[in-house]
Amino acid sequence: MVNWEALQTQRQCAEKTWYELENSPIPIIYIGAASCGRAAGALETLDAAQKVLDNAQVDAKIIQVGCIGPCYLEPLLDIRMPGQPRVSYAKVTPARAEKIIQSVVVEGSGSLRGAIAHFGPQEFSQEIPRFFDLPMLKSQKRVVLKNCGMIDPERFDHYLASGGYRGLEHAMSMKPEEVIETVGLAGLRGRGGGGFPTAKKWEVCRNSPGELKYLICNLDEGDPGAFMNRSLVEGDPHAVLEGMLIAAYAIGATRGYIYIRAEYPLAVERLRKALNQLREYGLLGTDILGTGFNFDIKVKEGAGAYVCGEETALIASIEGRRGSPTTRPPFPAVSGLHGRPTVINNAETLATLPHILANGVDWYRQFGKPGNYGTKIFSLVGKVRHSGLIEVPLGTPLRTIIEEIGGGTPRPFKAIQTGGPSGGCLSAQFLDLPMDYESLAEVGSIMGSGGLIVMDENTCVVDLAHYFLTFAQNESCGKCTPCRLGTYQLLNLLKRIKSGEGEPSDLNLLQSLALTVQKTALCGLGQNIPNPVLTTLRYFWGDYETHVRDRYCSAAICTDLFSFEIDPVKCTGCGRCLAACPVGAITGSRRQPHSLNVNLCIQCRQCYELCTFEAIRVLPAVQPMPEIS
Amino acid sequence: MSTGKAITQLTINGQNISVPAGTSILDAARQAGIEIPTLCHHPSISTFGGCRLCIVDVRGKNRYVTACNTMVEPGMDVLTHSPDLIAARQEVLRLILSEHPSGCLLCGEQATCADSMVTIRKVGVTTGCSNCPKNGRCELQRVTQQVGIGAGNYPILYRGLAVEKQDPFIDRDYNLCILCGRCVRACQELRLANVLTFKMRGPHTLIGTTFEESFLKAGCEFCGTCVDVCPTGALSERATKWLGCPDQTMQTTCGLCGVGCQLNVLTRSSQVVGVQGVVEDPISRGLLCVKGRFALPELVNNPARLIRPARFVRGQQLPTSWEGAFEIAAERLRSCSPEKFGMLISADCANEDMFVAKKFVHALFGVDRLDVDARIFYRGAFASYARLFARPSSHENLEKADLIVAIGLDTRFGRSPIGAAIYRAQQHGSKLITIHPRAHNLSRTADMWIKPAGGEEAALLNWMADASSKPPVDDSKNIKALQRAVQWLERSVRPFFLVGGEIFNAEAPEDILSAFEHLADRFHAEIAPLPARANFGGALWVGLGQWDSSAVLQREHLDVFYGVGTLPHFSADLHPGFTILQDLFAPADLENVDLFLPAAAFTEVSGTFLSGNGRLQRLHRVTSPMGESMADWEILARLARFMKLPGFEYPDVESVQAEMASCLPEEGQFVATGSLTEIIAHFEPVCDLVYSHQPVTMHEDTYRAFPLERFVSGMKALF
Repeated sequence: MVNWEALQTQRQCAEKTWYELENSPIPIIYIGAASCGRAAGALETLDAAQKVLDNAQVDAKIIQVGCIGPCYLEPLLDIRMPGQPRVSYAKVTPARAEKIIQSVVVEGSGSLRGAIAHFGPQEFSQEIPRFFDLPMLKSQKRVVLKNCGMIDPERFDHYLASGGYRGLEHAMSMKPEEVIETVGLAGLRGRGGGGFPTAKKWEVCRNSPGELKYLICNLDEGDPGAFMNRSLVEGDPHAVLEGMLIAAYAIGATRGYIYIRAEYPLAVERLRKALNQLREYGLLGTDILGTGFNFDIKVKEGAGAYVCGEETALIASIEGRRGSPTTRPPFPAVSGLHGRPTVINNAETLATLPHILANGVDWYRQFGKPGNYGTKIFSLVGKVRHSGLIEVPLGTPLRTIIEEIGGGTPRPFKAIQTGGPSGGCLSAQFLDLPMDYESLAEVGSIMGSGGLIVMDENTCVVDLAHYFLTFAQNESCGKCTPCRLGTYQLLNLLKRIKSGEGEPSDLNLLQSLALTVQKTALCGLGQNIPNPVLTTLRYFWGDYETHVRDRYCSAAICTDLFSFEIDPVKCTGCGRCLAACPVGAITGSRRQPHSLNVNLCIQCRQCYELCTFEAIRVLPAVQPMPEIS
Repeated sequence: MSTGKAITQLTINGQNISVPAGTSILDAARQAGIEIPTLCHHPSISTFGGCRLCIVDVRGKNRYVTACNTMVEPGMDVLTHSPDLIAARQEVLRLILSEHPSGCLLCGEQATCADSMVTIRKVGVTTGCSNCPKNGRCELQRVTQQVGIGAGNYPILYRGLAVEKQDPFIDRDYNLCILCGRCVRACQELRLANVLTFKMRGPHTLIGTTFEESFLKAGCEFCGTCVDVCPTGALSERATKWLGCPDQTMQTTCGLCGVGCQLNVLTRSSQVVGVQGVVEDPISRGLLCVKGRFALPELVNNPARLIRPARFVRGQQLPTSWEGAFEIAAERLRSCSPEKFGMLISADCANEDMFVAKKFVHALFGVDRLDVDARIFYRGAFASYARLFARPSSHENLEKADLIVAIGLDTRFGRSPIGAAIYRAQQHGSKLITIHPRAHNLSRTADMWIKPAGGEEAALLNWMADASSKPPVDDSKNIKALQRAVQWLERSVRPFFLVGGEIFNAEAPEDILSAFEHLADRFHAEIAPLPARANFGGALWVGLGQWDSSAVLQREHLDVFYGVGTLPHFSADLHPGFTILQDLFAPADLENVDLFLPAAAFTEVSGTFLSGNGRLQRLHRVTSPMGESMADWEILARLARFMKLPGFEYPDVESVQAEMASCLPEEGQFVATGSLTEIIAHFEPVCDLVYSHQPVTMHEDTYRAFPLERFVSGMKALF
């Protein structure tokens, strides 16, 4: 029988292990090997490092950690030499890994050459900054992501040593109602997008009659360009599980599900491992820690439908039915999975709970602002210099996120899409908009689950709306008319506008249809998918007008609406474009201005993006001349 | 939440309304005379909320809600037709019409066009209302008028799919489908067959079967519920879709098996154009089987019916008048001695027919020389099967059972409403044990499928009744399963036993039947026979079957044989001297009949059936008899009058019924369960005959001994 005392003993052991690791006599190598790192080649880097160590027969330990945030620096390799702090190296290819390991670990050169940051005290080095002082990390507040990249996600004792399950301990020393009250006071709101007060949802569920209640962790993250939950689970699965235990205790749930995309195999694997560890330590199953609290969790892999992130569709999917939303009420908190009261919380919401319970309401309320307390994880992608996973207090202005954390855009900033395909596209006038639920809703966008896509002047907003609608149309479940056919007709209109067949009246039709869909659709998906269209119309009406009136796409995206030309004055005849052109449309001799044949040009943009002299100009479409043989 | 009696007060469009709590806004508005348009809603099935036409504005809610699945709340203030709602509805309807060939719906020439499009509509592809089978009864047409839009502004998304015709009876043109999902819900919730589902998603969403199987392979029972609920022409009944809108509906009892479902027969200009179930019918609950739903119109409208009396001379048909036919018949009958006469009457005939037939034979010969043809089907088990009819049982109890044991019962294409009742009982937690040698529809959902080898059924049942005896099989795994079945039986509080038709194909059906009955008695179970013939119960009630025809027909040569709705197979040397057949169709072998008298189908006569569970049910004359055909009782009465037999002056069927009431056991009443016991107490048929076992599968799907597939093309595909 495992009980509280046993857990305390366990924690002491874990803390000792952690101390030994921190003060290890042998070198320790950390590799960021979450999905993002792996995509950048982290596993190859790891193999290379291992090979060097094996060849040199050096005793060192390699730990695979989760994503620490700056994805643009992947693969990240950190080395902790005995008696020294951890030092980070960025963009470590296998060849670089061999060199670094050879010099730092095997030869013990003590050099910090090539390192980007360290985790030690300020005075450790003058050459390189502290990791968390890097511009991308300085403005962040890492609460939920605290352990990501720091601990081995597959080790229960690492999590325990970092203060894990203290939140649960606190929660279980209270009455369930007190836990709900605490979370209510902390002002935690759903991080999945809606921003509904978590405690309120719990209260409804707790007060609904019935012995059997369910808790579902929503890990069906499907927005294009969003990876907050994946990184969180891959880097710190126990944080989510501890949150689930707290939530289940609060609402009186005895069965839990984790609904996760099957496209996240690593996250699934790590969750399964973590669940087994919990069972082993008596934190899952019947009579948890001898308190009489019963709770068990099953992992349910989703088959990849975006709409299954919607609560009622998610429930249908778990029940084995077609993933189609149903009308609410009844709300799941009253009648959900198998008709029982069910709470569905986003993984990030759940992972926040241990921190609130362990550190208290006042501590949590120092982040954010009234009504929007706490931090939020975003995945910052698109045309920013520093893309990656970030965590900031709610209410942080967009400018801070884009310019300080993101490092700004290479070309002038044009727009930012918040909240994924259901969110809105905001123009530069909103750069000082605080990122909180209400402010975003006011300007026609949503927080969503936290995808941020930054766009510069090379982005066509009509194309952007077209892209998101294509996604939405494919992901519509087909149940309700406005979503099934409204998106189809909206997409038709956008296709027409993109191909130069649009009429000025189409813009009004586009707007009224988008409003109809927003007003009449059944579920959150249908109600929000017109947002990209509506916000781009609202903030970039001029772009649409040039598309329909002038038949011109200034961003050089809609291929029917522009053509390229080489500016003979600016062209230096360097020949880069000529070499890159796949169809031989560019001719000219060296150091002489080149020329471009529009009849041959396929508008692949290669020359446009390569030219450093801005000699490739974008002009309204020129009708190709008929071939004369 | 609601007690059902509580009254909720609310305001709709400023009008104060009181409705029972738990009413939807849609129904509340309807009660107040406010019509909110809807397409995906159907009163018999769950709400869907997909078409979004019934959106209404509830004060205090931040979004429009759908009236079909939002329940009224006290003090609710609802607006149903604000300008913004009307505009939104029109826009939604425009979207729906962009997915449906709607040219005609929005065409200014609608009214004048209808007259000139008479034959062109029978093209294979429906491109507009004027060539759609549902024209005139399409809900989309009605809703378009109701919502009132003049023009569409979106390009049409025509799916360009071929009309699916590979399955019998139902044509599926998914180009017309508006994805309201009614058919899917009806199949899943009413029929509990789960054949239909949504496929794909987004604008590619379609309705069909899982893995694109044909309906036949997917387990469809062809109940037609999906066709009935379809608001557009997407699903239509192949045989009758071009017969036009029905102008009249009349309720009658189905005569195609003994379950006795109530039918709403739809007619147009006195022609049957369709059949629908009757939701109020406690047995069928509006669900029919393929025979009642689809085969019936094809059967009774069949052009192969003989509708004039005829003589057959060496297979040649010589039409004659009724007078002429009676003359020939009278002459033969007069010269026939009683012991050289035999009459067989189909158990599909009404009580009145049987009564008059019995009276006719008695009046003519003074002896009981008539029998019911069911004896041919039930062979040696006739007596034990008849005994089951004396036991009180009610199909209503079937749904309340906690354990159902079915033997030889396949409810896919026959007795289907019983199958649906079994599914419903299973939904409420009842267990199902099915005993059947082959895979059948119940084996898909049964908790246990006992699959006896030929000949071991009786031993198996006997062992289940007395588990201490020696096991009939030596396979320990099977024994374990059987022991579990016995455990279920022991624990069951309300067991229900059902007897299907398959057992009569076994070598010794009487043994199986007795063993099954014994098992039912041992566990105090209700037991119900489910006769394949529509009026077998009535035959017993009227007192047919006292004379065992099989003894005679297999041994003796008759001078005159009179078949009413049936013609047995005679061996060559026992061929009767003269055969009179009273039926709808000519027999397959025309040599076998000498005089043919055209009888009316059960939809063309009034009368009564005594259904399998002892209910007396009425037949109503839905259409007039085809051609010169007449009800069986009327032909016999007229022949009797022609032969100057006294007591056959029946002006109408009621006079027959009045006479029956006075001389049948239960005087003045048609409730027969009690009196049957009495009849059968006297009923001791001679059972010393050794019935030769013919290894042919008994054909249950017949009407008056004619296999339905001979006249209904779709039935061929089913078997």
